[in-house]
Amino acid sequence: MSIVNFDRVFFAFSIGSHIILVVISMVLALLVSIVELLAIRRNDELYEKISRRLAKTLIIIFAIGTASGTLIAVELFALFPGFMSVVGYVSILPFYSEVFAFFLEAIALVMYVYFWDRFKNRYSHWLLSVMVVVGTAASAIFITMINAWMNTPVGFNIHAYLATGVLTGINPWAVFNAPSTWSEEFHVVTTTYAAGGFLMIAFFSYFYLKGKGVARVASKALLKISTAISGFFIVLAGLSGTLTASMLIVEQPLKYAAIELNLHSSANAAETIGGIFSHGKILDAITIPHLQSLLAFPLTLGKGTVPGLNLFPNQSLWPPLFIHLTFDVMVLGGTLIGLFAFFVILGYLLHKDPYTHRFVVAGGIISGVLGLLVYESGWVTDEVGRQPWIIYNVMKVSQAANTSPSIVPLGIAMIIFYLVAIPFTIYYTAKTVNFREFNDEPTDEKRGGEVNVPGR
Amino acid sequence: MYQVVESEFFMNSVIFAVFFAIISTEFMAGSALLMHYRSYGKQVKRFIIPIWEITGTFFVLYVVNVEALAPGLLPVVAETYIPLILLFMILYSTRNASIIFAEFIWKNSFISEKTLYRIYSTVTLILGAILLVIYVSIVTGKGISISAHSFNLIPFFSYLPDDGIILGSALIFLGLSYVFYDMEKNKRNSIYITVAGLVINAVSFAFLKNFVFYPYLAIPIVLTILLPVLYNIRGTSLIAKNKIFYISVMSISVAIIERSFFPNLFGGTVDVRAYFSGTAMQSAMFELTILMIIFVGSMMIFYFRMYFGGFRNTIRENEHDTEGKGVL
Repeated sequence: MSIVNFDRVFFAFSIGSHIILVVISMVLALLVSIVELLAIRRNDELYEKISRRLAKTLIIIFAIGTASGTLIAVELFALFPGFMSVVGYVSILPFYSEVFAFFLEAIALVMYVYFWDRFKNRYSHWLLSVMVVVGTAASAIFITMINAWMNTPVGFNIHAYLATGVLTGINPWAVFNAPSTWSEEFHVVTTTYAAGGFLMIAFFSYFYLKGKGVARVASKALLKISTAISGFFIVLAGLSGTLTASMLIVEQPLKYAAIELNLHSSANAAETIGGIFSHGKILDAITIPHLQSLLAFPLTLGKGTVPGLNLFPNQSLWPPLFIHLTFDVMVLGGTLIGLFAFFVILGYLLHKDPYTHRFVVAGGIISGVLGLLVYESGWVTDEVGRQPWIIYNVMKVSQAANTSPSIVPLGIAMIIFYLVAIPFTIYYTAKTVNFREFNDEPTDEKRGGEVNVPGR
Repeated sequence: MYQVVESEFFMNSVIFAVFFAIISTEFMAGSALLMHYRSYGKQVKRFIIPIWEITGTFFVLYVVNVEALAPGLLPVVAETYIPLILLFMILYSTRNASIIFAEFIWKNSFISEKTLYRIYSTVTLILGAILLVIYVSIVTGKGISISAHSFNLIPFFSYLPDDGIILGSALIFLGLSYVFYDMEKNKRNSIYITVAGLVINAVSFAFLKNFVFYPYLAIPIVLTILLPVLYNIRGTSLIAKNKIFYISVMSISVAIIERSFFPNLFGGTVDVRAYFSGTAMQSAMFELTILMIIFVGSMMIFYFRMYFGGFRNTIRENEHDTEGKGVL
């Protein structure tokens, strides 16, 4: 493996690991805020205990996520110094703004957790949790702006740069509004909350299965809230996905053609599910006539032309076509977990409790794993779909990469570190949540041990 | 344009100074927890536990600010220090993991709270040493080949002023740790050790070619010695061990020392201004940095107001809770 490819794999592994923590911390912040609000509004002791316990979990995830995020920032300039040099001249402002969000999140979270009892007005304390939610979401939004800029670069004279290598005509604020920014933001934020919501469903399904007494009641309450969060965001994720596909047709037609495995441009394109590209043909695929056109142009009922790989004869600039399969995993997996959330929410609307059935709880665990797979597949599709470019049509990864061989042993050490740190963090966090301790504490006499669960 | 560059460098110095001042509280905590865990562990943790998460954020702020100020410098730094940087990051993650695990570790765990704090302390001290090695080498240039983008530790440590600055700084922080964490048994030692560190540092700096002795360098020397002296005087010890006073004093001192090298780095062979972006980005960053200082400053004031408003008492009430439940 070349050093450039090692850089690619190393960074992909790091960010693939990091986003697990990001997903958990974003949704956990939202969950803590919702639970504390319910505790205040209902004057509910159990919700109060749950929110304290989840806040403790959040600060652990945040601590490890901070380290991992800093690692990513340093890796970016250590592995791709050529890229970060251009970013420094043209598009550093979202990175810098992200530090604002980071400070907001860090300081608010520290005060939220450690100064909990110092607040006489409970709503003032709760507002800190809102600041944490805003901080985590804003961090994601600012970082995604950089990714959108990598996909559709703006803010400098690209033609002059390609001709001379000199950066001119710099507009530092343009990065906040690149052509792909807002559709990508919409998709990233909604999918992150959706994936996080499903992960929470998995966690609390497990606790629900294993728990007894108050611990089981607490798990059930959190299961319901998590289902509501993921159900809401998975719908928005589907909508934003359609918008993103439409944006790709205009801004990154090669990526679109690759993820849909379109060999030719077409005005009446079928959706290709599965299949591999071999010797100029697609093998072993299932096709659904007209569906791709309909999804790409829903407002005109499929009238429009989708791009094909034939528009880009230079095959050395094609991304690896396995992204078609990761795209399929994303869409099909997303649809499945969406159906699961729909089924559960429908059950509650019909005044039934789906989580009383063990197979539904087991489905919750599966949906969490699948949700994460869908989310990671989405990022692989996006990032590999831009290859060989690091800045689309401007700079290749090979031009940006650090080719010092000294990276390899330390890179391997870091990969091992992640392999140990992430599972251990999840194990440690699960041990810390430990709702079973609730059973050893005095119950709320007002409710006789019962709990006000949402929707009851 | 030159003026903007100067102002932006000034802001970068301020950010670095505050970051260094805050992270130095962790270096001091590291030595205190390793050497005096039983006697002073609780009061060290009382300060470190809530703030260590924020320290890391200052680090990120500084890195991104440098990236914006001198994007051309990054490829040089990245390639030159890559092994140290990656090692730093692994240790940085270990630091975060060990302290948060120490804080919430449960009863009868396979690893004790004290062991985790020892890991945190050791790792933090190594992190401090790596930071010092990187910064001292950027100043003296020993062991660095700019053309080959490489850094060799043997010539670096063979140059006595490099060793002197690292040893001197370590002694200064050891001496100041007695003040900052109010370790009364070492009151006298705080003066002797801090002065010894200052003397070693002064002699080492005198040998550096690119170091200019401005009269205002007396300020950090006086301020540094002032802390243990005030600590030893009955009426002023409260001022000396005040956390905000220390952070202010250390920030001013670091900013002044940093200024004395500007703009000549790597033993005077590189004028750092050549790497500054000097584009529209510079003014945009300048504006955002002012906003950042106001924003972070306000948040930190709020934080310290809450901290001094009773958080320490909350910890005290929970001190019997030593089995890892922290303050919750």
